[in-house]
Amino acid sequence: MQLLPQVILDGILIGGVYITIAIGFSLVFGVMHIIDFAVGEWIMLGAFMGYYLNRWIGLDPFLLLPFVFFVFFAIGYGLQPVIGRVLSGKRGNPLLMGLVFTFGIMLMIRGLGLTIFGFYSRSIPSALASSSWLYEKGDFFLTVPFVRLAGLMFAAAITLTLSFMLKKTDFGTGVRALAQHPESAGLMGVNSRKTNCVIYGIYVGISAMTGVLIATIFSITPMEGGRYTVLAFFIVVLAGMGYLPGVPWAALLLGLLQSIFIVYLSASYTLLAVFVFLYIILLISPKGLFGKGW
Amino acid sequence: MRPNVYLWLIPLLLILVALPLVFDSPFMLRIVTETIMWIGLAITWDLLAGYTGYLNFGHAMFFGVGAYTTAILMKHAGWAFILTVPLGGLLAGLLALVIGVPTLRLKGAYFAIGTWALALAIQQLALILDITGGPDGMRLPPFLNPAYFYFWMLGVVAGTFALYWVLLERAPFGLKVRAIREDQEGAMALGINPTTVKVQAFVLSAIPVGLMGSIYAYWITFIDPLSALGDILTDQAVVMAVVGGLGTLIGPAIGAVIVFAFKTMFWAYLSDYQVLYLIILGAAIALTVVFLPNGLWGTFMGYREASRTFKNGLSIRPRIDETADTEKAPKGEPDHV
Amino acid sequence: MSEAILKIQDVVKTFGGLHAVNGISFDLAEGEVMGLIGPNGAGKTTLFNVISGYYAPTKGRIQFKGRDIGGLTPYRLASIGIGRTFQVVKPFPGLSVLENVTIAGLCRHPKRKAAEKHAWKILEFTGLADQASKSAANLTLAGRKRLEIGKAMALEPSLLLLDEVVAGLNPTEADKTIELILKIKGFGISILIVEHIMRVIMNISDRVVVLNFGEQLALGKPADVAQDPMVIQAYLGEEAA
Repeated sequence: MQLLPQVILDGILIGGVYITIAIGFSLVFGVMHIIDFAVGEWIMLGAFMGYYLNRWIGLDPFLLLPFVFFVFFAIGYGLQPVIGRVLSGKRGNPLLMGLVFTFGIMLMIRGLGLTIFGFYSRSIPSALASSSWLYEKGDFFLTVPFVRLAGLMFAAAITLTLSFMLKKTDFGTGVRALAQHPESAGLMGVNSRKTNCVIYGIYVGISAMTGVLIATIFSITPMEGGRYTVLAFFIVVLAGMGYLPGVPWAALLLGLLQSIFIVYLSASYTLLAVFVFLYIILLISPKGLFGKGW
Repeated sequence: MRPNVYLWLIPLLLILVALPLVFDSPFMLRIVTETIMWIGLAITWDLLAGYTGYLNFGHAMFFGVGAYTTAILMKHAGWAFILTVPLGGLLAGLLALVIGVPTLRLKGAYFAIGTWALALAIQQLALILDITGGPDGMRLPPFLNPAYFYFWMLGVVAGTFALYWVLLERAPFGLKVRAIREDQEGAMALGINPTTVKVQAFVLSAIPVGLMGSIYAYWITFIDPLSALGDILTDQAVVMAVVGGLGTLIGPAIGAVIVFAFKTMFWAYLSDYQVLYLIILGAAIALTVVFLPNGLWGTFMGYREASRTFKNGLSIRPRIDETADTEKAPKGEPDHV
Repeated sequence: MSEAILKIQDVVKTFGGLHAVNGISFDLAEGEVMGLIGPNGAGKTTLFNVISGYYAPTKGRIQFKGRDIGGLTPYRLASIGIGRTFQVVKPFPGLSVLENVTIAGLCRHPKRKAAEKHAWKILEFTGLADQASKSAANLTLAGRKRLEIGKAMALEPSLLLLDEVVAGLNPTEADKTIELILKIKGFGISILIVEHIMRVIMNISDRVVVLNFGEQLALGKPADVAQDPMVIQAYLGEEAA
């Protein structure tokens, strides 16, 4: 029982990372209505870019984050027109076309990653990695590894920035309009093509930054992309597809669950539990905890 | 469906049966056996995807159930191979029945994610449990006889193909399945219980895969969670079916032959670049979806079945009928069940 | 007066706070044609959806041939003799016209060959026999509406629910459809028909029930209902009443 506060804290810290995994994914779904099967692969690519930049330049990964964001934002921005074409194609249901198409993209990126980076795992060293904040009070103590705390703060920053952008800026209002009704939004002067490009760019950028974080806090291999895709799916389904405010809660819940499972059950059961839980959630409440998903 | 095409299959079948008697190369026989297996995997996936309109991204779970059934029964309980195969198929069918009823209620994309999650869960289970050998997998008693397994696989896949053909082209089942894919509410108004039909399709797509898994286990003599329950099984079946042509029986078969032939040549000549294979696989499906949504066979025959799957297979929202004219969907439009 | 084939008693259907159907009661006699009219949003299609099993009634009873059917599934109702068309027509676009009707025929004729034979008869009856192998998606609107009726008829129903089968057709097509409906009535099939085109309703209905905002305004012979001030008010507004 002594462990419980630490377990909860760990869960929250991990939940922070999960927020960033899922929030871009949910945003893109809400606006463009595609389920991007490749989300985990973007995370993986970002992680490796962070790894190599760190090796060549020597900068701490947290300092590299903005650079990684901009590079991947550009990639996403440039890729979006292709996806847009797939989605607006005359034949077929856009949602399905998008999903199978991103499925193909996922295979391609994964193959690319395996080709270039090989099979073994990497991890990015950081100045923060070695320190933690230790809180002691008699028998009771809490360890807060700095690097994880930084991850949580990063997640909070991203969430707040996105929230601000969506609610307070003109651009954000346009995004919300586009998410609700593309045709009307266009009539109101929202440039849907450009907005979609920006949103997709933001999504890829955030995912890539998340990858850097993950590689710093944990480690990354090219094969792990799939695992993060599953996590993203899980969180977004739990939160409600396209319902952004639900993401932080769902992510924290997942983090807590994982933390509790690892300590009180066994690490190998955690993934199993996640998958089973995801399945059950889909059966009981596909619209998410708050019932506001698509 | 034009019957002439299917008539060509009978001489083909005879050729396939005679193959081991003519060719003496065990290597060739193994290649053909695996090709036949992939044909089976692709057409079973297509039954649910192309005909019924549900994308099962966890197809591999049935394969794994069959494989592990045979492995466990032969290794730990000393069963004879022949007895384990029907049980492998049966258990796969049972799994489909049990998860089918709740999961098939889900709308398109959620069904895809749900089956995907379930298959991953089962894979995790195989990694954790002792009886399945964990990550190290299981070794079966060796039995080297390529022709034996060739005929097993040929029998199962040919039988499946024939059964599917009868059910889909001659029996009411095919019409019902397509009706549900096109318009579930409309089908319900005509007396069709969608859940029953969908579960039937699901079980029909699972049993042969379980049988193939059982055969695979004894044939390859070794299975582990990656080879018997891995994503790559499902992924390849999906690519084969889509590239070949959804909603037909011949399409996925052709897709399987092409993709597998390509993979084998890749492995033979470019084994250094094996991971390139993934890239090309991904590109193949991405390009097919964009340019040839009906697949190679579908486009060749002018079919439009795949478009229907793409149109209906992954909808989450109730569809507004696009073929109606100016009337918009009435407010009382029922949600998908 | 023959026994009522359909009894609607105080049926209510709510969606959250919205009372789409709020206390409707009427009897449909066997072999009768009853028109169901009302302004847009009055709850007509919702009522159809309740009767045909797509929604369960929130309150009230629905009896068909003497037994309660509230909450039964659409396919169960199809098999006991209720057929319906949809306001937004629902052909199976990827299938041929013949296949469309054959599927409906499977309800009464489980074997495919028999169902197909039955389907041919229905196609003759609805005048679609020459388009049997056409894809249903390629039909004109009139053709699709007739296909819709044909599919419902293939169920060999005792009660037919027709939802705006004449709307959107030009006068010639509309007349042909009216002929078809009268032929169906001639078989003794009871019909409940929603329609906006007044001359259709007034000419073929034995009785008419008027809905507005989910409430029942009037029930009676067409001529009487047409004079009812509340009905006039609902359609034309206060001043006209």
